[in-house]
Amino acid sequence: MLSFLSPWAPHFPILLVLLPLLGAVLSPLIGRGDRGWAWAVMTMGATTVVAMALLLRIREVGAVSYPLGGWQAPFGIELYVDLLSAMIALVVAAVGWVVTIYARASIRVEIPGDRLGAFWAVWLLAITGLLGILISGDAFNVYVLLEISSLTIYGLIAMGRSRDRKALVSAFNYLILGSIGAAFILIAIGLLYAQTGTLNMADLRSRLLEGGSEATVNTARAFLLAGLGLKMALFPLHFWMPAAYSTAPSAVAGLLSATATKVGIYMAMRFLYSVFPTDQGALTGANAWVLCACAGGAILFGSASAARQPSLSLLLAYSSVAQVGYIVLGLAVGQIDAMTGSILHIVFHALMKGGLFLCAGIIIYRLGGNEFHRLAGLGRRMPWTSAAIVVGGLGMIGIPGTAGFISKLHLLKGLFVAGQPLLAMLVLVGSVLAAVYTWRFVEVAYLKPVADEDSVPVDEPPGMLWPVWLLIGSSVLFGLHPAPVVKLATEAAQALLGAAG
Amino acid sequence: MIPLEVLALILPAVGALLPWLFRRDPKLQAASTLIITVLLLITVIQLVLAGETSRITLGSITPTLEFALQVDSLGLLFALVASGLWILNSIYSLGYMHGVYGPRFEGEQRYWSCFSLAIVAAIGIAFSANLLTLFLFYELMTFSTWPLVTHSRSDEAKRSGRIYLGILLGSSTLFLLSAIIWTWVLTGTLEFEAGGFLAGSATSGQVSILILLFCFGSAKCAIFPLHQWLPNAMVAPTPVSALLHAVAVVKAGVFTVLKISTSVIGADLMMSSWGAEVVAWTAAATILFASLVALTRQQLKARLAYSTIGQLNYIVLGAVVAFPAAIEGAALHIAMHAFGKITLFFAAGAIFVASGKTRIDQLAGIGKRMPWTMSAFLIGTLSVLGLPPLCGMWSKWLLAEGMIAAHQWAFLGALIVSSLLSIAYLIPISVQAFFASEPDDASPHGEAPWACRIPLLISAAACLLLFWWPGIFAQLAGMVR
Repeated sequence: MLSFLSPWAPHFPILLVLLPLLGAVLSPLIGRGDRGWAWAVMTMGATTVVAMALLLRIREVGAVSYPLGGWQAPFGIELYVDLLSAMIALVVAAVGWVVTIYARASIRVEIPGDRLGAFWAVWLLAITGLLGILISGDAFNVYVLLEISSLTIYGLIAMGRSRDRKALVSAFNYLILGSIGAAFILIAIGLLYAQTGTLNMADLRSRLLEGGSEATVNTARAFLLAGLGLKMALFPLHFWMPAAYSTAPSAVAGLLSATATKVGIYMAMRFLYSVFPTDQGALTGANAWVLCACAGGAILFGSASAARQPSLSLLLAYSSVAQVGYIVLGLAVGQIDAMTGSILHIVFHALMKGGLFLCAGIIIYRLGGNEFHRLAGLGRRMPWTSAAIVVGGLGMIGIPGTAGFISKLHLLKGLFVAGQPLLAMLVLVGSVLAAVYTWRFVEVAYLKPVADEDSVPVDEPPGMLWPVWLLIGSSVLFGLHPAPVVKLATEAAQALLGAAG
Repeated sequence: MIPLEVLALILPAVGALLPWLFRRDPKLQAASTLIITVLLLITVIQLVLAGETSRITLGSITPTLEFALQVDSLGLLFALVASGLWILNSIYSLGYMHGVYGPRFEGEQRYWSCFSLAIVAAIGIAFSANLLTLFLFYELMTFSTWPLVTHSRSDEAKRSGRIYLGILLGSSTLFLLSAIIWTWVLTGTLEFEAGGFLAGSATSGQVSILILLFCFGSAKCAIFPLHQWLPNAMVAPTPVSALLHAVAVVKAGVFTVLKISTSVIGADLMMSSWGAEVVAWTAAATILFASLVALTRQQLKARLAYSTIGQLNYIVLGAVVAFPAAIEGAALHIAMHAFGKITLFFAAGAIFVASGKTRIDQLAGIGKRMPWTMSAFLIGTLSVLGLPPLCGMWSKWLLAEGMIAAHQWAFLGALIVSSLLSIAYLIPISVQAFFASEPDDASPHGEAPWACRIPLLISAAACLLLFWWPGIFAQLAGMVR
């Protein structure tokens, strides 16, 4: 498969960033409207193919290091791709592609007309930044790329202003908090640089292992975790996120929920396990406990809040707060099965929550908003969209047969093996709460009578519907035949924890 | 060639699609559904005749963790009951739903579709080869029956739906799933094995806690205090109640308990652990409690619901006492109680279709107006009581034998007392119907339509016939170990 690309094989890592970057730069020249959209779809398609090829190659040959311009690490800039980063890169590229296809109709009604020309450039640039973080082997480059993606994302969120003026406020809040987070991350990297004199991640690790001031390392780790906590919306640093996701244009919300927070979590995994020295592969002491406490809080608070939100978008955003909690929990426990569960949940949650936010977008597109009072009888008015939301919601609960069950199963096993049955109970309580918020939608959509009989049925635009079902359907497919993904995730988790051990 | 057990899953799954395909033509819709139900029964009978079959993998998560099917005698018993009664229930549904809601009622497709999905789940549970597969179909059953319970979409239905989903999903997520994962961590496998696979991998304390988690996790078996969903679900249309009570849902719960007792934990561990004792005492208490509550209920369906709770806990009791005769009796009771109870529910629904009556005190003299229905009701009553010459006797006999063999005199006492109590709450209904005179201001009505009457006559006849020829059910139950 994809063998026609093999002459390019050594250059896949850099192509993964170059393609969307070039696409972004050229996009204003191509034009606005459908031509701009088609260009973005083509760019993302090519990027996805490269991401797929990269994953296949890494499965064959193992982790790849790519010295930029031929300058060898640690002096030159190194790109480093292993199974974990390649998997998440594929998710970012593929979900990004699907959401790009979906966005055609929705941005026309949600983006102010004078911003349409810039939209695709900013969009592609954000994806460039996210993909760049995943393949970078250099701590400072990670920071730079993080800023590229963050700044563009602030812009994308603010473009929601024509639908909801609050988008400006939430983008501004996110800008302030995101910048504080970035500053924390920069301080952490600065401390590490001061300690070791290098910015290359592999080099950092080997020098940190040689010893040095423990206080500096611990301080750096604390700063890093605080900064990343903001970026990935980890409870209690999540408060920017529901506002931002619910006011952003719905395609942007779909993209962000599937990719942006996930990349933040990836950075946490990478730094905690591949850069900082760990004790026999596990986090110990305060780090683990703080992360577990935050994750537990996220699960309970996020799920409980989600059940009380006035609109579907807000419900989904708070559900994301909870789901980030699951992922961080597995990451913090550092047991192999739990880590596998985390990695799986990064992938599966991206599919499910991306699909769900796109559903919320279809509802906005047709009904002008998705507050619950508008959704009465939605099961009859928009049967396919409602059904997709129900299936996605079942995935959030973790019902067997959906992808959410597979990741939760591994996470729970890991927690049991790690001797943390109480944390496992917490995860299960979170599932029950997820049922509560999912059923809130189900009752409104299926049991409440339609207010206005003439409004049945609402036309569901197929161009938006099939991307949704592509994401939701693949989550069900992975729920029933997860073996290949589970195998990849297990190997990625082994590599990550092995590097730590 | 598709393996028979996969075909048994595919057929009702196709049945779930047909109502949407034939939404324009109700006749075609009904006919196609009935054909599917008959084909399913034939498939299951073929499976019974085929005897030993091999394990079939449907999908895998890791090399050692798969969704898989494996037919065994307990599963065949359950599948046979579910698929056989599905035919009766479908015919009955036609009569009842059209009688009550009119020929083209709202949510028709959803109703038939969810009904078929519940059967998919029942067959899946019956044939699951491991706990993972069982859990998959167990949850499918919860979700596929929720739209049926809330069919009327009234506020009361919504409330009942919440209780239904809350108890069933909550208990299965919190207890059953954690028990499954704990078992997986302890033993490294989830595959069912005759005689259990937990022995040697867990301490006796762990086994006890696991038994508690498993039994209270399968809240479909309506063990106290997780029984509340069942009386609440009476808000559903009567064919759905029959589905819940006799064909699928509650039977899935007790089947799960029985399966776990025999194929996960194993009889030896069951008999020696305090966890099983706790469950047994709870089940015995539930039996008595449910019988007492049933005495106080004036709504016919509510009284039957509490009767079901009691009868189900006979099975739970048999499963946790785990003596061979008790297990056999419990397995047989799945089938025998199903025939008796579905007759009672069919009759209750037929009364409602014909006369609109739901309370027991309204039934005075109704036996003269609805002789067929009420005769069947009497037969169903006697079968549930466990009196000869009706099939309910055999399973109670075996259960009692098991209690005696296990020297569990208290539980034997509970069985006897509850049988006496059930005489007190079921017999007066028939007495009223046949011997009390109708009030003068009664509005005249006749029998229910034939589509309602035929299924209940068949199931009543089955109660009689299965006493003389318990045949295949007894054989299958006898092979459960």
